[in-house]
Amino acid sequence: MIYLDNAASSAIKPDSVKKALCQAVMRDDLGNAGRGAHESSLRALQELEAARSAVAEFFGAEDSQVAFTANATMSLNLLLKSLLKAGDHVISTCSEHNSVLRPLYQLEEEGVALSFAALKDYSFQVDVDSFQQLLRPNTRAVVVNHASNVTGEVIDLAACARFCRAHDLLLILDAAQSAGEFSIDMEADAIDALCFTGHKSLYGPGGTGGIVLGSRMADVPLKAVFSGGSGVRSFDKTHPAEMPALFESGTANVLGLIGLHAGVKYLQKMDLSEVEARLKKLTRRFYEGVKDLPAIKIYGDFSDPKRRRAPIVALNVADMPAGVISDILATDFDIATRPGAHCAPLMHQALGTSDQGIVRFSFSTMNSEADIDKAVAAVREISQSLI
Amino acid sequence: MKNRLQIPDFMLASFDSSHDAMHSEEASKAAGIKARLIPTPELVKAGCGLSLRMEPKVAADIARLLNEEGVKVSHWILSTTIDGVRQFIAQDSPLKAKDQDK
Repeated sequence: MIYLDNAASSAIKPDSVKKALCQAVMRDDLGNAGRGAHESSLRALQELEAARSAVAEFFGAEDSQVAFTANATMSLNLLLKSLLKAGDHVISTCSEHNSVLRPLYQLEEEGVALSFAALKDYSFQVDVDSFQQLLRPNTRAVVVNHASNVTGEVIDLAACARFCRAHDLLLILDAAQSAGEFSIDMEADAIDALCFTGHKSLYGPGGTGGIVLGSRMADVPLKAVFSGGSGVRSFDKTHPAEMPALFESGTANVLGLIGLHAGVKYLQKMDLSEVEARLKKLTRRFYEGVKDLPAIKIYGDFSDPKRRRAPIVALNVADMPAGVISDILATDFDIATRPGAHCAPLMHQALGTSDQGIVRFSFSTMNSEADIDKAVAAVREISQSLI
Repeated sequence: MKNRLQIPDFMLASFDSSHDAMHSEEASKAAGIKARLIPTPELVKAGCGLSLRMEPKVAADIARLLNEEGVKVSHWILSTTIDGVRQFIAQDSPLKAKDQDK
């Protein structure tokens, strides 16, 4: 199979990740991290903290400001529900995934007000300039996805950060679709909180993710959403309020985090600028191969080859339902893609694809140019069926 | 070159859960009836993300089988091409239709 559904999950992991995971499963010395001082507990804690340090370094954060969760959805739920309260107002965008939208809609029922920025006219880019019109006296935070999981368009993060700093708002970044594809630095990019998942472009296993807090969050009150075992202060009735324990109730997924750590090391060894260049090359090769084919409609702005984007090409073939095209790709060509709504309802409404859906091709460093060429040939053959 | 878009009519069964969808494919396979899971088309605003695709002629057999297995089908949909446009049309359960024939 040619696997081009990496924006959903990177099914093909680097050998170093596979090896780390296999070795971890075979170990007999990984107990419960932070729940004792015997050798097995300490070995598990050592692995947990090594993964934490690696992730902190990766995003330019303090070790203590990285909390591990199960995925980006869990991270966003924990963070948003920990931070926001009735009376707050939040600015978000039509580009968001349901992992942002649904927690926000839940909070709306509890009295949090929401505003959503649209796409710029005749563009696939979020209109960051419109944040100014959406601003209210009680606006507390801006929540944006770094890269659209539908089109791969990257938001103007610098403009978001400038707006947030100018109005003393918190910038919360959903990096599910960007972490591991290009460099992100909490301080340089002025991000206050970042939520990531491990199983996409960080090449870790499913069930890993996290929350990273920037320096401006130090004085921001956060409440525990989940409470329970923390390994410390057992006689307190409330869960510890400090990072990372605040978001890490219960036993850590040490085996998974060993895999995530290996994924991060793989990216660091390759160098992120090289990763970005490689992904850009594969994406551009696919785009160039399909853009002029008959009946192909592409959703995304590829006019500037230098512009940063996630390795995604979103398209439709005439008015054929995306699911039908994706099914032909899977059954006739053995190519895995993702059709449908991609859990991003506002984006599909903005693009006018709510009924048709979109076929999404998404690439990883594990793909080759030969994979891309086969996918282009498949799309060509499908599109020529319409002539 | 084969026309990849000349897709014959097919029937879809949608489900309320992915668990039921998986069960339906396993049950069909075990009974030797050809059917496979596909993503539920966006136009079908119901059910989970997976639907069981089958030829219309085996729909009644699958409906009976799933009924015996206790797997609830949320919707039956016929996918057909009308005036060159692929359509998804809600259907009565083939089991019900068959019963009505009696």
